[in-house]
Amino acid sequence: MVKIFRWKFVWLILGISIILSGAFFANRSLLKSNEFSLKFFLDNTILAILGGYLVVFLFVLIFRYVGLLFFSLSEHFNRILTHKDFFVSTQLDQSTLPMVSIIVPAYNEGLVIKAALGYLLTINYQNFEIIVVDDGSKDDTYQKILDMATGDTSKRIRFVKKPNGGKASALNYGASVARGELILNMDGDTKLSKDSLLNAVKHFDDPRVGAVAGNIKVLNRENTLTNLQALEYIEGLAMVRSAQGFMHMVSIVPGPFGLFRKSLISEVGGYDYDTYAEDCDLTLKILFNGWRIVYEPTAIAYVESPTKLLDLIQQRYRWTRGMLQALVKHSKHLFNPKKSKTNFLNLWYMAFETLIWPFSSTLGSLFFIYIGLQHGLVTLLFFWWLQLTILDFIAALYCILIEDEDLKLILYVPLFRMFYITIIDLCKVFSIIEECLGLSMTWGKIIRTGKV
Amino acid sequence: MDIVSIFALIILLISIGTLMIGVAAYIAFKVRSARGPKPIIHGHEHPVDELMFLKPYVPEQLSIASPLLVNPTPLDLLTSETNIQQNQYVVMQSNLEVSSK
Repeated sequence: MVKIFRWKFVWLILGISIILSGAFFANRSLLKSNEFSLKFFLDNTILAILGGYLVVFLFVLIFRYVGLLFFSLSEHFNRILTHKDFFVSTQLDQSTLPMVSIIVPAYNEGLVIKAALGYLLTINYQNFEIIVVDDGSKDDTYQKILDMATGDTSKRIRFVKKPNGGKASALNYGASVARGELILNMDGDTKLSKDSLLNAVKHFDDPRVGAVAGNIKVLNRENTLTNLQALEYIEGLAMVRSAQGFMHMVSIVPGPFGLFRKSLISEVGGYDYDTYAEDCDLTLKILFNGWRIVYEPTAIAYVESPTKLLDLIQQRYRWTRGMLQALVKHSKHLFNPKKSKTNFLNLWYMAFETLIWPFSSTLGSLFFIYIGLQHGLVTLLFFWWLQLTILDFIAALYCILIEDEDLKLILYVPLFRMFYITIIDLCKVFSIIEECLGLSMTWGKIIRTGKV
Repeated sequence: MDIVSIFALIILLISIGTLMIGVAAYIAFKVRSARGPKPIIHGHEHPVDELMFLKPYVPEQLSIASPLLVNPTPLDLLTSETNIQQNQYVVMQSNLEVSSK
């Protein structure tokens, strides 16, 4: 506690020093002249400080992109050198592989559940069961599950019906009746690639590995918004997970594909119910219990992404507030590098992505718009946008090539920076403010369109 | 007017427009959330379902010393499927019941 206060004191002194320095340098000519104006003084001071802050933010962003590219590339070469990409399905005697319980929580998934279960039954893995947890659906989900189970000749599908209690509760319930050594948690609308499970399971040869994060991709690339999300999933999520995977500390095992040791889920107490980002919370619990979490890019899970702007905002609103809740819950590790070790950095990275980035990015837009309109320095806004777009372009090109994705996605980079990220960051800012104010929220399930 | 200035002006207008769209979309989202049907509250304040379903199983001989009693967690009952099956809700296994139908 004393240490935290000491750090707060240091930060306070540093902040005041920066403000005073900014005020002095911005107004040095004004202070020498006889015509002193408080309005100009404040205007200059605020602009100088904000400008300085944005320059620092830009350097942090460059550092972030370079760091992620470096570690992601390292992971890629590591996979090649250690032959991790070698296709194992034909080499293995599948009877030796551990049993996997695939848990599918379903709440009003009537439109997609049949297709999702149908795909699951065809995956390339022998020893698995499917546990479908109907979380009190009000549509025909239960009947659809029943139909699928009846027609399932392999007898792999088991199902549970319970009153609505949320995704975390459904997953916990599913885990409690699971018979496998490993548990694969996924969403009701997820479609797995054929070898996803096979490629993910091999990581558990390492006894230090507690969980494997899958690679999430957008399936319904039908309009500009979904294509922008596809780009975001590749550039923003897959690249980060790949870089974190190199250090065995993936910060979020995604909801659509998370493979865990069953004993580990029991050890950490399963999913908690105090955040709206239960996957993030569980991941942090696992990391702080000393386990490794790795990323498997070939364990691909395709998901249906929101097709309308309001649905997307609804999703990001929940993600942001949920991640903030998880961050606050584990905040004691932010100031305990000795105990938390490398996960300490991971948590600070999360804090940067969740809190600092959206605020700074929105502040940057407002700042450059203001000085463009007020002081006629419009070109500064252009260069600000250009440098961010170049960073996005490099990262997107790398990710598209590595992931063997559609090269057309690169065309969405200018739109991505100009529209998409601006709106998402603004939504995050509002969500953070609401979370800080403690406003109530609900899960806000997105209506499925049945594209999976 | 050089090309950079033209681009800069376009980006200025687009930035202003995007921010306005972002604010409008967020307000629309909040209005829609307020008007929509109220979902069942779960999770944070009222973990009713967890109390109903996930009663920690504690073997009798360990009931005094077990740390599970001090800090019960939802998955403590992983060792006891029978505990779950005893409750009033149905755990169906397709292999058995569906085929018999």
